[in-house]
Amino acid sequence: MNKIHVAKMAILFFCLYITSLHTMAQQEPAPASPLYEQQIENESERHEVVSDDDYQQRLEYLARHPIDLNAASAVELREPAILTGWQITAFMQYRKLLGRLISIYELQAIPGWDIETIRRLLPYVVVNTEEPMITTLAARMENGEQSLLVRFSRLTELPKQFGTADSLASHYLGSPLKLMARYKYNYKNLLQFGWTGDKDAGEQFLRGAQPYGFDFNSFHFFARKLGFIKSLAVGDFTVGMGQGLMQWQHRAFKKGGDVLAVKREGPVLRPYSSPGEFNFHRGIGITMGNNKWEFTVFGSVKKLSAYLGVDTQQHIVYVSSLLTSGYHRTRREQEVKDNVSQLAAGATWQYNSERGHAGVNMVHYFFSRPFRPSRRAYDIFSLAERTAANYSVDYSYTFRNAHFFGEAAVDEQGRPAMVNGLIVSADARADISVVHRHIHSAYHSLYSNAFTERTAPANETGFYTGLSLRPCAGLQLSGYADFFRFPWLQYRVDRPSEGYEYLLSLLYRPNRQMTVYGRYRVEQKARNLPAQAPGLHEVPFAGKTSWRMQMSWQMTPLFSWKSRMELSWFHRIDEPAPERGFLYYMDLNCRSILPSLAANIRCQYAEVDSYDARLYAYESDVLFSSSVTAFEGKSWRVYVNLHYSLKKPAGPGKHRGRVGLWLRAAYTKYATGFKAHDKYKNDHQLEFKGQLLVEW
Amino acid sequence: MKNPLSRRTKPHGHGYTGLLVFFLTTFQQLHSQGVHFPMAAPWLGQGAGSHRFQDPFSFTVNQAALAGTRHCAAALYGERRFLLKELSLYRFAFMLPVGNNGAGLMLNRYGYANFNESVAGLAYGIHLGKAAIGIQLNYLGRQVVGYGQDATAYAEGGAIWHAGNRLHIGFQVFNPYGGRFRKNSDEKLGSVYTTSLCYEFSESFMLHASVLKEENIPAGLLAGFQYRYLGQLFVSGGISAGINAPYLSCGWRWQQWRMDLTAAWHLQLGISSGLTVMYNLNNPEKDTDE
Repeated sequence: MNKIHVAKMAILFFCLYITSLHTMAQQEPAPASPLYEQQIENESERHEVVSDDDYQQRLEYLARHPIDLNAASAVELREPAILTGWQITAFMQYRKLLGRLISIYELQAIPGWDIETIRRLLPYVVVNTEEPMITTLAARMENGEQSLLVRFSRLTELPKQFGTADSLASHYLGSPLKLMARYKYNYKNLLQFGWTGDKDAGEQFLRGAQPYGFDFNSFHFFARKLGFIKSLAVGDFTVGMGQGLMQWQHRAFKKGGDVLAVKREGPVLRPYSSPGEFNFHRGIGITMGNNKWEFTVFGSVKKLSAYLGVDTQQHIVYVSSLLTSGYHRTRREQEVKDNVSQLAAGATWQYNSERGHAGVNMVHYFFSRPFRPSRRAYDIFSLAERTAANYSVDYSYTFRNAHFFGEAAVDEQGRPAMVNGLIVSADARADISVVHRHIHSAYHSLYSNAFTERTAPANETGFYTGLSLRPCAGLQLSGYADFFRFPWLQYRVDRPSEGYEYLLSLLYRPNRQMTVYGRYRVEQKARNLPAQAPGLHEVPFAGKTSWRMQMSWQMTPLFSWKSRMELSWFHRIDEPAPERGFLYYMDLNCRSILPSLAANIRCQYAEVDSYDARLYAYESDVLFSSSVTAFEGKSWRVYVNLHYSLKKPAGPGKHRGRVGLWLRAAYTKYATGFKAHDKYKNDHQLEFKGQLLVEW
Repeated sequence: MKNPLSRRTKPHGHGYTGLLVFFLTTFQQLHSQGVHFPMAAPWLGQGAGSHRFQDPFSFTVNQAALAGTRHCAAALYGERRFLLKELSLYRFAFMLPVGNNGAGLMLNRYGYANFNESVAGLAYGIHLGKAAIGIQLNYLGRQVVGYGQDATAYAEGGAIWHAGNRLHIGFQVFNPYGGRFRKNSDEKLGSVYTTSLCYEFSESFMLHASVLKEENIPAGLLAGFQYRYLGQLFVSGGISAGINAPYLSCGWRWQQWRMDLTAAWHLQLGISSGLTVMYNLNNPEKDTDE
């Protein structure tokens, strides 16, 4: 027994001594944590529609096929999107220094790995003592898992566009049924391929404009670890480069409850199998290299849907706006479907070391029609050509307890954008994150997603500081302060403006069964005063404050309870009293009310004065789907989720042969006189959703 | 049965203090609220979930408090809002342990001869280890000269989590659905949603805070403290931020009896006064856990 092994055994016994053993046992995937719920809610607040379920698919797969910590690379450790770059570096150094992990309990000895992080990561990792197998591509075509998923949903109270005359431009031509189907083959995340079909409510199916079935079809083929080829993508895939200033199509969150999640992490290429119809590439991509060097190149040809305009003087048909929602329900939307071609090509070269990496990135776009921005003052810097390009360099470096990262990019006009950040493990109980971004007013990029206040990185300068404290066992205090400035105009902001945002949160776990979460958030930004004469508007500050208190409790191994109360205030300078919002709900979850039957029910009341004071609530949904509903007005809502396992896998460690059925019913009753945005005819809404998943 | 709140258990002082400070310092914009609450003595029942600071009115604030009932006790409260006889409130509460659980009776009367509301309610709380739940069914009768009589039935319920030996967090819902009057079905009782927090610094000192949101009325904050000196003298104080009315009470216990004088001050409407009398069928001085 060598000295390193003896040292590891000593560490292991120490970890066992100071920690309750049963808390570290392999667990089933935990329900969504308050931090994850917040991130999804914040994302919905920005985009309103969240259709990318790639992250949920990854987590669900990792829960059933956890990452082997003794064989995982840094890229694989990024998959759950739980660890920071510094934590990954610390782990790799630890494993290099002390060898393979003996037990999962050893994670506590890794510098920078706090109990909360380990708890979140545990469902997705495992420590295997056997050497990993290397399989050929041909061998991966056998013994993989296949799955077929079919999901449908329908509202009982239909939007008025379903009932209008067929001749009206706003009339929906298809049925109100929303339908999705997905087939996937997956061999241990080393080989996967599949197909996804999606039909939105109002789109036609097997008739009219979609005679062959779904409005959206997606195919993907993806292989990893083929010797010198690290990953190969054919079909639909997503690309992530640097810190997202020029290209980031993977799921990524901006500011939220996890104040240390400020860095974009992930492999360059990922397969795409979500029903979203815009944010992906379609073509081929390949990553090659070894432990030190990595080179990725991709090419993509894709059709886009765009509203066109005609310049009669110059005889030019140009793109006035892109249709990114993926809806093709009306005649007008069908006419513009796939009417613009996009050719994209990009490459990234990276040098990796133990402590960091350096990368050079580039991407080019060619469109079949030129873009032309609108005549609005805030839009004058938008893309106005048939081509676009971005170039950047990015880096990361770990020095002792500090992790530096950043990216500097330019567009084809040479306008710069820069993001630099730092994550410091200042103490065993304290972590600090700092991010500075400076992005030129006229900088533009496509499919980008950086850590910024705005949805797309442009026209912004800001400084963000986050702090996470763990003063005692079970208690985590987090907060951030973000100051930002927009040098040019924006939508609904007719002047250069500035703003700030603060968040203070408390996460308390007195024991394994109970979680208490409180959050206080203040945001202030400039906003046009409404209902003014044409021209530039007066632009005062408008602020939103919200407070949330949330409690969850695992009553028994089968039953859990969660409750939330949230208040919001939206202040406008032209109104003496703030617009208020209130949300209250109670969840009851049961893993097994009957053999093979799990259920979840929520009762909720919301009272919100206006759209600006609206509140969002993450809702449990069918597998791979997450609902985040924005509440405005006064409403009562009840939903029930049922999950019935028609057939379970053959035994422990087996994952095939699963047949699951999910059913969801959600009923919302609005207060008398209030009709949801006047979209529906009645004051109530009932939605049914069902899903069948077969694995073999 | 060992008292889970034994002094020998070490508290997580820093954690609880931080939690309470956070909870209390974030409220700066909450406004008026107040229905069916004793205006002069909003502290009554705020020790719900706490064994040391519980009183017979605790279950009227959160029915889950009955689950911690160890004594059979009764209490009577009377107040005059703004010193007006017409705005008098009388409340009677009785609680008794039922095994590990508890049951309670509440009677309430507000108003005067020409306008009054009376409520009778039965409550039950269930002990679930580190948590408790409770429910109360009520019947409300209203009498208004020239209007006649009307009545409605409604329910309320709550849950309390004991996050440690000193920290108790509660959620309570008053009339979540229904509560429409028999004759005039357009009129209904407003729903009230409450989140509360109670922290026991010691056997003698407790802080509490609650956020109350009544239907169609801005949310309100109630925060205060309770202090017991030598187990016989009681002082409570705090503020109903919703109506900007601070309150203060002083009480005295003699054997199984306890009496408190209480007053609240509204900036525009003046002083409200109240008197509470409690009787504990089991002499609390003989309770070895205190």
